[in-house]
Amino acid sequence: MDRSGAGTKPVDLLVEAVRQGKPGAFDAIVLAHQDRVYAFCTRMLSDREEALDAAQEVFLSAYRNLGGFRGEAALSTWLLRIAANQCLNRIRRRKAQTARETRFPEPEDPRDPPFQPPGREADRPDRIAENRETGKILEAALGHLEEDSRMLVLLSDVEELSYEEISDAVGIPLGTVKSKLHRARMALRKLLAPVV
Amino acid sequence: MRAMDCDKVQELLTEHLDGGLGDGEGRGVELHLRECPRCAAEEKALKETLSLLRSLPPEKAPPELLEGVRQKLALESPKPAAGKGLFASPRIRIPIEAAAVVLLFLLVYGIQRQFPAADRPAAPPPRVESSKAPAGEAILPADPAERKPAEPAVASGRLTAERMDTKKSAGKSSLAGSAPLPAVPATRVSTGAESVVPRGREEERAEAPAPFRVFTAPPSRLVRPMSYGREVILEVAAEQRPGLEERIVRVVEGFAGSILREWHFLGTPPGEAGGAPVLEGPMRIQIPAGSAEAFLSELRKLGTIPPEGMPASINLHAGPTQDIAAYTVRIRVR
Repeated sequence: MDRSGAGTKPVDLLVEAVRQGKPGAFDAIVLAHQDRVYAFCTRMLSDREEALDAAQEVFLSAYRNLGGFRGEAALSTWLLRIAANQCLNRIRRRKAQTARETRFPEPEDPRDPPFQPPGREADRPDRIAENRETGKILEAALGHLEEDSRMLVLLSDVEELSYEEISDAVGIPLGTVKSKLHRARMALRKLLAPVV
Repeated sequence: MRAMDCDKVQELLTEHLDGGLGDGEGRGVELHLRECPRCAAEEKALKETLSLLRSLPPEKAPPELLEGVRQKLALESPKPAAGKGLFASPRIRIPIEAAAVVLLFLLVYGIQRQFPAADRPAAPPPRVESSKAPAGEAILPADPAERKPAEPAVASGRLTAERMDTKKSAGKSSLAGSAPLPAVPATRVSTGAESVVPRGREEERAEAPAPFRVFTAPPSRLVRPMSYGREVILEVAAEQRPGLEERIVRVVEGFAGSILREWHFLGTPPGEAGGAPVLEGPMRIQIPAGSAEAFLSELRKLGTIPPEGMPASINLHAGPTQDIAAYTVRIRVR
C-alpha cells in the first residue's frame, strides 16, 4: 500500500526557511496543512470550537519543536501525530472532568445504542454519497467509537496513512495497529449497518 | 491450497481491503469470498464503510486558525526553534535564566576580587574604646561598620576630603608629640588628571601611594546625615596661621569631638610651576552639645571670631541630634 504523504522536498524547504527565521515561512506551513489538521481535530473532538483551539495548539507545538523534526516522516504525518496526541489528551481531560462532575451517571443500556442512523429505506447506500448529510452521519458514528479506535480509523481511512506511519505516529507496534484497526472498522461498520 | 474458515477470513478482511496481504493469503481470502455469501456481504459492507470514510467532505479551516496561531506566536519568542530543539524547550528556559544570574554573580564577585579590601579606604579607628569613655563618646558609633564609609568622600565640586577623627581616651590627645593625625589619606574622587595632595602631606602621600578607589558615589548632601552646623569664622594673624588646623584638632579632641576636613583646590602658587597646590577648606566639627560653649571659648583663644563669624543663634540646635552640636569652622587670615 502506497500512502505516502505530500512531496517532502518543498516542505523541507519550508521547514528550513522557518528554522532560518524567514518571515512568512511558518504561515505557509500552516496554510498548507491547516485544513487537514482542523478536519482531523473536528472529527476527533466532535466540537468545532474545541477543534479550532486544538489545531492552533498543534501548530504552536510544531513551531516550538520544529528543531526536533528530522524529516524522517512527512511533515503532514508529523503534524497529524501531534494532532492525535493533542486530541487524545483533550478527550481524556474531558472524560475525567465529566466523571468528576457527574455524581450519578446514567447506566448505559447496551441494547439501546444512542446512535440512530437513518432508516434503510429512506437513505439507501447508493444514495448516501449524494446525501448532504453523509458527512454528519459518518461523523456521528465516528463520535461513538472509542477515541483510540476513532483515531486509528481517521488516520488510516480518512488521512490515508500507512500502517507503518500510524504505528510511528501513535507509538504502537505494527501488528497492534492492524488488529486494532480491524476491530475499529468492524465497530464502525456495525454502527453504520442500517445504512450500508 | 486449503480453504480458509469464515473467522480467519473476517480477521484478514481489513488487511485484504488495504492490499496488505501476501499472494497466498490474498488468494485464499478471494477464494473464500467467492464461495461464502455471508463473508462476501461482510466484505461489501466494509468496503462501503471505507468508501464513505474516504469520501468524507473536506473541512475548511476557518481563518481564525492562522490568525490565532500568529497571535500566540507573537507572544512567544521571536526566533522559532532557536535552540534547534535544545534551548527551545520551555523546560530549559528557567535553567538558562538561572545560569545568567550565576554568571552575573560571578562577574560581580570577580570584580570584587580584582579590587581587594586593601585597596579600599580603611575605616577610621574606633572612637569608643571602653565603657569608661566620657559621655561625649556616645556622639558617634563605636563600631566602624556603623559609620558611613562614604561620608568622608567629598560631595560633588569638592576635590578632597580628609577625616581627622579624634581618638579619645579621657581627654588625652592622640596627637601629643609629633604623632600624625589619624586621618585617611587624601581621597581623589575627581576625574581630572591633576594629582591632589593636601598641604603638608606630600611626603606621606609619596610613601603610601595606594590608590583610593571609590566604588560608590558619595551620598547626596541632601540625604547626608551629618549636619554641617553653624558657620564659624576664625580670624587669625598670618603668623598664627601655620599649624592652626592641628591646634583646632587638639581642641576638638579635648571635647571628645570629631572633624571632617574638606579640601578645596585653589590652584597652584604663581611662578611655581609644578609646585604644591594650594588647598583650603572648612573643618566640619562635631562635639557634644554640652561642650559647645567651652569649645567656642577655646576656639577664641586660637584666634578671633568676628561678630559676623559667630551667628547669634548659638543656642539653637545645629547638630544631627540633640546631643551633638556641629560647626563649620572657616579660617581667615587677617
